[in-house]
Amino acid sequence: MEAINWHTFFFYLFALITCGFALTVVLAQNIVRMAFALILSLGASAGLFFLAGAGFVGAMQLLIYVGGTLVLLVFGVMLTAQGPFVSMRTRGGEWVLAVVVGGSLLAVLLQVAFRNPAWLPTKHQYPVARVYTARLDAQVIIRARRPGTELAGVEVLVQAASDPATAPTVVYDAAARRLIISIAPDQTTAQEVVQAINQPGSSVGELFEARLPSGHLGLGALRVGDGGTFTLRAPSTTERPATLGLALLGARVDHTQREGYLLPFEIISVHLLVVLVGAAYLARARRRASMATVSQGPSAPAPQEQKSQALTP
Amino acid sequence: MAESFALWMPEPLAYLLAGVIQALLLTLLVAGGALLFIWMERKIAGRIQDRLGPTRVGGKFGWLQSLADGLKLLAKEDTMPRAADALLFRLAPYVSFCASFGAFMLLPFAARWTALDVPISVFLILAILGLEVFGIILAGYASGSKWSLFGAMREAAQVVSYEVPLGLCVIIPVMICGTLNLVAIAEMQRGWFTNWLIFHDPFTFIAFWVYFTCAVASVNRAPFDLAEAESELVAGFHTEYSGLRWSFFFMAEDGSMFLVSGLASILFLGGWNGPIPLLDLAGWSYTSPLDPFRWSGYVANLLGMLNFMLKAVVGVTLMIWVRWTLPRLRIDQVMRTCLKYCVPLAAFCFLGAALWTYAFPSGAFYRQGVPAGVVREMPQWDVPALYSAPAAQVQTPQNPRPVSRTEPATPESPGTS
Amino acid sequence: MILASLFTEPVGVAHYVAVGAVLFVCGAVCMAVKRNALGVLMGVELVLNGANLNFIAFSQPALYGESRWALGLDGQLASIFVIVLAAAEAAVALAIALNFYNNFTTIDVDHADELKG
Repeated sequence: MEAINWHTFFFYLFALITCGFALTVVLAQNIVRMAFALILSLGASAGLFFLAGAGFVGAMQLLIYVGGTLVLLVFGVMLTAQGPFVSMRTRGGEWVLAVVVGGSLLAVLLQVAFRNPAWLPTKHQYPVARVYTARLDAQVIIRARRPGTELAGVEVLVQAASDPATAPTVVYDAAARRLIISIAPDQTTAQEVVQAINQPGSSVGELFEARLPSGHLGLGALRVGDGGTFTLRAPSTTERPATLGLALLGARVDHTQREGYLLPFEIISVHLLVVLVGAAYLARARRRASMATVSQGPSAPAPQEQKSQALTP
Repeated sequence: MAESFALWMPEPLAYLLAGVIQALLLTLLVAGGALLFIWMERKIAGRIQDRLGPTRVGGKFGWLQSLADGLKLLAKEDTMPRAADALLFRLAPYVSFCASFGAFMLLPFAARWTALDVPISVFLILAILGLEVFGIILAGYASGSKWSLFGAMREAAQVVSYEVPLGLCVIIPVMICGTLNLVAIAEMQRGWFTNWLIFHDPFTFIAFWVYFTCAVASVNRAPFDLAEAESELVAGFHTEYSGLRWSFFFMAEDGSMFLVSGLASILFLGGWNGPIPLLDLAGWSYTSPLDPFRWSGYVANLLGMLNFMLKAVVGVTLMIWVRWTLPRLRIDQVMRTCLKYCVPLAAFCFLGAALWTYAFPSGAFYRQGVPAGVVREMPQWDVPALYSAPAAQVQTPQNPRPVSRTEPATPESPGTS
Repeated sequence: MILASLFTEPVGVAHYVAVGAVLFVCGAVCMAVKRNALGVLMGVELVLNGANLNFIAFSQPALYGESRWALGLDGQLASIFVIVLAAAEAAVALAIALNFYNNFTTIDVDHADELKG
């Protein structure tokens, strides 16, 4: 039996929570329960973001979407959740129509998703990513079954790729006590060559340092020996927040061919400001219209106004 | 931790075991911290009000009082009002507690001691801590009581507003250090206390106090505890709660108090680095995460963790002191404090610190030589000049300033030895 | 047995896109059938989140069989913009919904038919 792919396992876990609570949002009648299900659904989809290597966007989803936008939404729910409006039932005919249309739309979308061969994973074409997409930190781990093996007799068994051109090559330089693992050139990034440098005087099983040509520093435990499998995951530039920030400021360090996003970033900042001024204006007009209601008016848009300032720096 | 276990057992099992051990340690910390803080709160409140506080349970200082309280809460009946939304009413305390507890896994306690070390830990802590408000909102709604609902609405408005100046204050150390990783931020403050970011420049000194004010407000403590203002709202969002469910809210509150104090200690007060770098001078502490294990490093980490805990507990004590000294604000005063004072002040400090870092890259004081610090996943333009290690093993690219990071990462020659 | 092979196979962009499709359809149905204005707003959030998930999946090269098709950082940046726009959209939509509630004392969107001839 093959080993469990943990990335797949956690993907299905989070996907189940996300889709399950999204369905709950549709099916629930009580508006507050809908809001709660929406929170859980969006939180679990933040988990999917983490799983896909977009940690910063995942944290942003938690902070801004779940912690800001949804709080605002729940705030609105509470202002209006009175008596008859808590649970409003949909007519049966609408349900039938919605399920038919929605179901056929879903069928088409799923068909599209799985029919595109470029979107399907291939098992052996990219062995590094296949093994290690679940571990999203910079790590080089060389594992052996038996600890305490001498480094001099290094024998790293790389899980053979079906195509020998893409299989990583492993060269051990005994004199320099270094292990060089080369991976076939990736089209999008520079060639990833990893050097594992064992520190002088340290024995096998201790931490060692690995340096990638792109300037990253990896950290892991070096364990080599008989029959060990070598798994490696080089950190990609897209997983670091600084790359994102620089791209928003107009400098792309991950890709030489592409442009930065300074202008869209500025436009969206101004847009956000204008929108929030508009929201504040609407909320003020509301208070003039009826003084009898709960006068929580100005505080409703206020949190959003803060959000804009939190986003701009 | 998991990597070390993976030497001896299959990898999934190693990760599971490491996770369970870390979760147990953190649970012990949160529960023990809650017991300690409740006792401290009673003693300090007593002293401030010129009385003794608990004196009987457990001997001299009444130090078992909070345990006795806990037992009493366990034995109490969990009541639920008939108008309540049963499912949400039951869930709400756990939502609150999980959010507060979940943020602990990202908090580093010493140089290598953190349950989960991610490059964006400070951002993620704020994000997870921000979810705590949902528990309170749900509790307020699900109780089916108007007092609870009022408390929840106030809490929603207050917490979301105070996240903004809080975030702005957190950005200042992040900007100075050039990383979102809490371990790296704390390691940058190694050395004498003048290296602490609170003494980096006058703006960070102000920012620390703004941060502390906003932190008190965001964990819903007096004088900002409008959500549970007993003089107006009976008991606010937890009016209808009793027994164990009620105590979960207070475990969450105590946990958050400790968390924001710990965050303050890492971001501004040097984390686990003492005012005098005795351990560094003695050569005990680890100088880089790549150092092999040694007992002197372990002891140094242990002392560093005590140091960190001490700073965090001092922060909590300060919060308790503030609670029993200042009267509660009105809701409009709370919002005005945030919008008219905290946000502009935080923005001003942010701009000032940015300009200061540009003008004086080494801060207000001369920075003593920092030992080769952590160089984690950071690419070369993320590694400030402080980190340029003299040792041959860790060759960090030389950069003039952490603020000017415009040059792209050029592939570096792989040879290091 | 099927379950075992489910967890040993790798997942790719297609699986993420499938989850995104489920979110999108849930959101669209939610927008169509809910009578509460805030329920409609929740449907919009679900749709946006489904789009976000697609962007994130497209950005990750490791999820592709052939990594040169990956969007890279652009996908993440697009999803950041989506999150920001969703925050702005929610603020305005909420203000409109509250205004509507105050003028008509109902939150049922079916009653917003004054412009009907």
